[in-house]
Amino acid sequence: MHIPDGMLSAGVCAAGYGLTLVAAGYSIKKINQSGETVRSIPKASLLTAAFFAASLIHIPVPPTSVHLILNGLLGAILGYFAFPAILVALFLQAVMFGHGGLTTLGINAVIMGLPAMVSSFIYCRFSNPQYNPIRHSIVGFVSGSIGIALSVVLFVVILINFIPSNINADTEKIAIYAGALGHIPLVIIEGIITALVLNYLKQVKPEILETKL
Amino acid sequence: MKHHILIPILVFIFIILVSGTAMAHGVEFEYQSSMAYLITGSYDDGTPLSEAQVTVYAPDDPKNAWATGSSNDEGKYSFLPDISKPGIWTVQFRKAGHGGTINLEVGEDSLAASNTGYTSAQMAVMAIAVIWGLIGTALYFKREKK
Repeated sequence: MHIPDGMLSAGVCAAGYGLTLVAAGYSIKKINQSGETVRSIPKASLLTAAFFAASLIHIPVPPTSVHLILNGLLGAILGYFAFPAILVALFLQAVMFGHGGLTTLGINAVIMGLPAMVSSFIYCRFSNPQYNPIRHSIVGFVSGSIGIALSVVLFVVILINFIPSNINADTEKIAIYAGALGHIPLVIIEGIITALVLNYLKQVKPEILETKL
Repeated sequence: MKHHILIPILVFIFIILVSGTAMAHGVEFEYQSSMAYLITGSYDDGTPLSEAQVTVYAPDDPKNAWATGSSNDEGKYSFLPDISKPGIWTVQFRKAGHGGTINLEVGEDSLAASNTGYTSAQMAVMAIAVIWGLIGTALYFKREKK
């Protein structure tokens, strides 16, 4: 899911940074307006760590394997903090492990951060203050699944439209579609993880989920 | 009497045939040393980067591919660089938007084996360091105000 250096042209990378700048700026502005910046930093920091480490957890999907993303979970819990948290985690993943790259940091932040904002909206819009386990589980599952599913869609759309001319486009397209299909189990797994975590937090520490958009 | 004449004739014919056959199978060798690079691509979980599209760029033309090909099932690709073009050769593996680029220094005495990436232990140490840093940040902002 992380696009490494050298896979996209300079123009696409620059456009990714431009969109990231807008999304990060908007998020930070909303965070400052919320007046809960300091109070929310601990959970944002912990979930940045979770996102950072999640990419090291590989799930075998023969013939290859996929790794957890958890952007939907971050979106549901962090609200406007999700995009900056993902941006920081992606930066650390790129410089420490070579997951993604510095030139593609912007585009990777768009691929994983914007769907997190959508998940955030869905969770805040549809989760009811009156705790209903079934409804809360469904909303949690959808939030988690939508995050990763939209990321896969963005990943495919960007790669398909910007295949360099010096490689075989048909072969690359088949590989991209195959890779996208391999992420379907991950969409379900992340939905379940998100639903379980949100339900657990709602029962033991509901104030963590009181993020307002 | 007949045998005395036949035997030398048969020996002569045999020698001609044998020597003729030997000349037809003459083999000559020329040799020169060359330096092929075998590159193995794999994902960080160890899965081979199989059937990836490989593009090789020579130092004198970094825009246009010098060679293209694909890795085998084990993620291996080998190529023989033109040693008249010493410098940094770039080899890129790509499959479904994943892959990577490796720079190889091709020169007169640059025979070497190397790898990129980290060992599992190095990865674990780095991951723990970063996670601890983030937990520390969380604890700092969570501390009780006195």
